Amino acid sequence: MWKIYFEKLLKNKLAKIGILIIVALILTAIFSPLISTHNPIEGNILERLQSPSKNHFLGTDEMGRDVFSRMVYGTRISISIGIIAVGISVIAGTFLGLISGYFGGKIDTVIMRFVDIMLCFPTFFLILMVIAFLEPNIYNVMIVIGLTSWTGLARLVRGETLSVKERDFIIAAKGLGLKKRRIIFVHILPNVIAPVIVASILGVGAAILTESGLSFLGLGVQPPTPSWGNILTSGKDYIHIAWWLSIFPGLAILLTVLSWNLLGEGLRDVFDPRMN
Amino acid sequence: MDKILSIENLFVEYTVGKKIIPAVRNVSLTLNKADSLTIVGESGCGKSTLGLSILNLLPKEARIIDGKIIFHEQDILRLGEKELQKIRGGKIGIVFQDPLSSLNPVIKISQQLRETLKIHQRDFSDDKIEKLLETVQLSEPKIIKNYYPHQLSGGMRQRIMLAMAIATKPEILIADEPTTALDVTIQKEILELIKKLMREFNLTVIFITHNFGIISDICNKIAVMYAGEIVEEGGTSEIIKNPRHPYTKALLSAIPKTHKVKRFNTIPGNVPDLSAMPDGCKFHPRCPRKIEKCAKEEPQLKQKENRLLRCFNP
Repeated sequence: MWKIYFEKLLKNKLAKIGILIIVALILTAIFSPLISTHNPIEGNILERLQSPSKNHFLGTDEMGRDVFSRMVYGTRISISIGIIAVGISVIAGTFLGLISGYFGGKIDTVIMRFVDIMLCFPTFFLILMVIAFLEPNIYNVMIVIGLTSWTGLARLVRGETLSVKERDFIIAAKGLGLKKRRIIFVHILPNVIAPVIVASILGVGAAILTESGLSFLGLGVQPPTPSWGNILTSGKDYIHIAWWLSIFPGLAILLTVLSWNLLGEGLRDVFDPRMN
Repeated sequence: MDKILSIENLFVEYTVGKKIIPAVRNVSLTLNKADSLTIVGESGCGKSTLGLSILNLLPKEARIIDGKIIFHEQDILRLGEKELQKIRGGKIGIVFQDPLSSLNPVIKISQQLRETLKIHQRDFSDDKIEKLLETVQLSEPKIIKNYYPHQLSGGMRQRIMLAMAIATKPEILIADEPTTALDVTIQKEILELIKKLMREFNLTVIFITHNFGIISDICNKIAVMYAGEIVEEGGTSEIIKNPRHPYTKALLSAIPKTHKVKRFNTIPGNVPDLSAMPDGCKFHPRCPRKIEKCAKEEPQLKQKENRLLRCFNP
């Protein structure tokens, strides 16, 4: 079944482009020490603010560090934050959505009202607030992004669960003596997983964007650890004399978010029975 | 004879909005080991509700008001969730009307069978699963077990449902209109299969249907239900040869006969709105034999010769 979906996905040109970029990014993230040409943390101050050249593909920054190498290492940070943050939000959102939808009643009310409250806060400011209290490092950023973005998923899963749990095979499963836990995780979960996959892939792009935003504001990944967001920050002070410092990380963020969105939308079409 | 299941004075109500709708009223039935009982009636007469309440599987709008369902000296309605799960699918199996929607579309056949076996702590090896598929006369079990439900026909899916229901060697099988969603030739095959399983596993069967035509050779007892009540109950051959209740007569005469070309007999009117029942006998507005008393007084289910009957003027 998954093979059929995958073949269908590859027929979609945009999704294919998305997949190619994502694969390239993941490979870059895994093999960053091999790909980078210079040390990303230590630079040669004498070579500061050089424009792109043969030695420094994307130039150097204000400390004389190689921008290309910093961006290669930054890929690692951005991709892992995106994926892990979404992982957290998928686990939390799916679990709470399933429970809320299946049991209904008071449990549902409590979870959904909590979701409503979470949705009242502008997410980005909520994250800013939490990060302000915690130490801003890569792990806290992952956790905070994950724990603030599960609400939409929880609603989505709850809605799907509500409709799946009324279907005959769930009554049949009960009739066969299956426990609630097994009914929820073995019978309902696979039936609601398709929209979860789409939402989580789209979520990776959003999480990367959030991380870049936080790092740009200095509340995300802290220098000297490179991340696209904080390369951008240091670039903004020199934008008149060193355009490469802002343009390349900006482009990288754009391409990355775009590719996850292309893949997400491709998947949505694949899973949508009306599109066949 | 061994009494295996008895339903005593069961009342079930549905709450729809603020309306309370009685679906099953004062139903009592007794089943002995290896009996096969058919519950017949029109749509909406409460026969499926009765079937579901035996396993306490009713939707949450439904409420069992009163009554007992005694299975091996245990009242099923007073069991906790854990004990219920042991009985469901373990001691009592159930097959539903629509095999197309009773199987989970995203799980392979083998996995669905394995779930049932695992829950009831039975052997869930591949061999066992293939053997089960063979028992329900599916050819090529090795291939079929790796299929998803949508790759199978309706008849094959109903066989899978049967395999799941008998996987744990239950004592009772509840078949809730198992052939309604299938075409006629497949219906016959499934019925033959159920008969075979009854012999092989010494099953007690409760058959729920609206089709008199298919039951005469499968069951030894019939209970005719109308508007939530049993109106006539007795041995299959007695009731089919000599129906006494006007409703049973009407139902039997509504079976189309191939050798006579004429209009079908129909029963005038509809099943009464369950929330607005007529006074007296529930069938009297449609009854050809009604007498004055029928509209005023409710007849009781009484022993008459070889059967139970609820009628003043049979």
